[in-house]
Parts: sequence; C-alpha cells; structure tokens
Amino acid sequence: MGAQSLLRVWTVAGRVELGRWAVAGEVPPGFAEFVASRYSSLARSAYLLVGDRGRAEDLVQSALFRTFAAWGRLHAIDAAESYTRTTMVRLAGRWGRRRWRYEIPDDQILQRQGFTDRSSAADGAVDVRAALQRLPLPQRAVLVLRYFDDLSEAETARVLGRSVGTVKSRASRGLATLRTAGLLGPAALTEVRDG
Amino acid sequence: MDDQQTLKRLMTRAADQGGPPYEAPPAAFFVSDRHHRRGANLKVAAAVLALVVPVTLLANSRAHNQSVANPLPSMGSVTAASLAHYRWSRLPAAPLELSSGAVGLWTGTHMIVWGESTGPDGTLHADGAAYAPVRRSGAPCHRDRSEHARSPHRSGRGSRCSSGPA
Repeated sequence: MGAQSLLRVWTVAGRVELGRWAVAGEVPPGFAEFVASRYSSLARSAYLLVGDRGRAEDLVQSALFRTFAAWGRLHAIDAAESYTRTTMVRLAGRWGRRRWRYEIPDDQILQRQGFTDRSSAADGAVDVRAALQRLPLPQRAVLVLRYFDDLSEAETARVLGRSVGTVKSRASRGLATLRTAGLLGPAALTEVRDG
Repeated sequence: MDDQQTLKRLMTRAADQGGPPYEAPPAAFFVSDRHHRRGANLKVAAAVLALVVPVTLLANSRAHNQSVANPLPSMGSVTAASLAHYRWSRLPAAPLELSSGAVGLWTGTHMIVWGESTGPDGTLHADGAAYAPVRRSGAPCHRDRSEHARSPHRSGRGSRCSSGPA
C-alpha cells in the first residue's frame, strides 16, 4: 500500500470518527483544550489582521469551525493552531474581497453615548492598527505572524503556503511602509520606550 | 531595539487596547455536522450526475446515430423539420407557383392547399395542390374548369381537390 493510499485511509478514518462525534454532538478529545488555550491568542492576531474586534471574533470562530471539521487529521495542537491560522488568513482575504454587508462600527456613536474607546487612548496603538489595515493583506499577515505571533520565517511560510523568500520580501516591504509612515524608526523608538 | 521589536511592542499594545480579554466560547459551539452533511450532499449530487450525464450522452448519441443511419432524401430547395429524427430535410419542389392568401387543411394523410392569389394585383386562382408527407410527394389537384376563381375564404362550395398523389 503506497503512502498516498495510507494517507487516504487515515484521512477517511479521521473523518468517519469526526462524523460520529459531530452526529452525537460530542467534542472530540483535545479539541476543547485547544479552543480554551488558543482562542485568546488567535483572536488577538485576528484583531490585528482585520482591525475590528467583532470581525476578529467572527474570523476566529469561522476558522475554528473549519478546524473542527479537519480535527480528524490534526493530531497535535501545534498542527491545529497552524491550520487555524492558515484558515484565518485565507478567510480574511476572502472577506476583504467581498463587499461588507454587516454592521460597521462607528466611533462617533460610541462617544455620543458616553462610552470610552480604550483603543483611542493610545495614539500609537491606533496608528499601528490603522497602518496595518492600509497594508496589503499578504504583507499584513506576514508582519502579524512573524512579529506578533513570533513564528519563524519557515513557520510563517508554511502557514501562508508561500516560500521563505516570499515571506522575507513581504516582511521587508511591510516594514518599509511602516517606516515611511513614521511608525518605525528612531522617533518611534523613543515613543515606544516612553509609552 | 530594532524596528521588528518596536513593531512587536506596538502591535502588542494595540491588541491589549482592543478591548477586554477574549472569552473562548464552549468547544461544543464548534461541533457541527454541517460539514459532513454538506460532504454527504455533495457525494449524492456527484453520484446523480455520474449516473445522469452518461445516460443522457448515450441517448443523444443513439438519436444522432439513428438520424445518420436513416437520412431523409434531399429534394428541392424547401425544407421541413422531421420531429422524429431531430433534423431538417428538403421538400420536393412545389407544384404551384409562389402565391399568398391560400387556404390549407390537413386530412390526416394529405395537406391540401388551394385558392391562392398571385401578383401585385392580387389575381385570384382556383387551383390547388395536395402533399402527402409519407410519400414526400405533391401534385396539383385536378381543377374543375367551370369553377370561377374566387377568394379561397369565400369558396365555401364548388371547389374540390378531386385527385391527389396518394
């Protein structure tokens, strides 16, 4: 039996097992631990990817639905996290191309009603969030995965399905854009230290 | 501190200030058999397509082969559709000259056309013709010369197609 056949049998067996859990409404072993331990980290990354808290949670939860569907062939939490991050980036790209038909947060309304937007309190945080949103998604994803999630270049390349060279060039272009915007460099360094 | 570390601190601060800590929903929230149901539906649809498409193609191929194996004769410049064979074929030349305003009827075996007018002045004629699709042939009717030419819509009696080609 060849490697492809073995992989197929393994995948089909995983799906059958997962289907049994899904039909029974049961949580497969390890999935609850994965969600509990990684949800917050994934949501924070998603927030930097899409720039909005509500959409970030939508993104993570949509990705976790897909992770559950693939759980039969994801045996390690690291593999599941990598799979979830890949799905998040792909979904963010798909949502970015799609016309947004849902709610759009409006800071003005929040202020009128007396709410305090904590993210507005720190200009640097708002600046970097806005600057990230102005970057193309491929560059933004590389910056978030590399410098926020602390993935290596090889891991980032695997998550994005691109080569290490592509990851390096996208990171370089993204950093250069942020430098041009004044977010990075000597002046920004002083602000960050003081902040 | 280099740009990368600066960016990490900025992004961490932005994520921290994005709101209260995220609370993970219960894992059961993500347990759904919709993917499996969708997969099953796709498999059923694929199986139906796999069955229907070859059968349809085979039926069309047989109909095409049948029409090629039994070609209808090609005659004249006028065509008619053969509904049984899904193709067009030429009709024999008409025994009447080009005209308009004729009346036609179908007897069950013959199509009879008579009482047409020709020319710009609308000259009326009392002649007619009968066509038998089974034999793919047509012939003019024998005219009763005593009949006056009249508009076919007013020739309620006296005109008859006394002999056909059948």
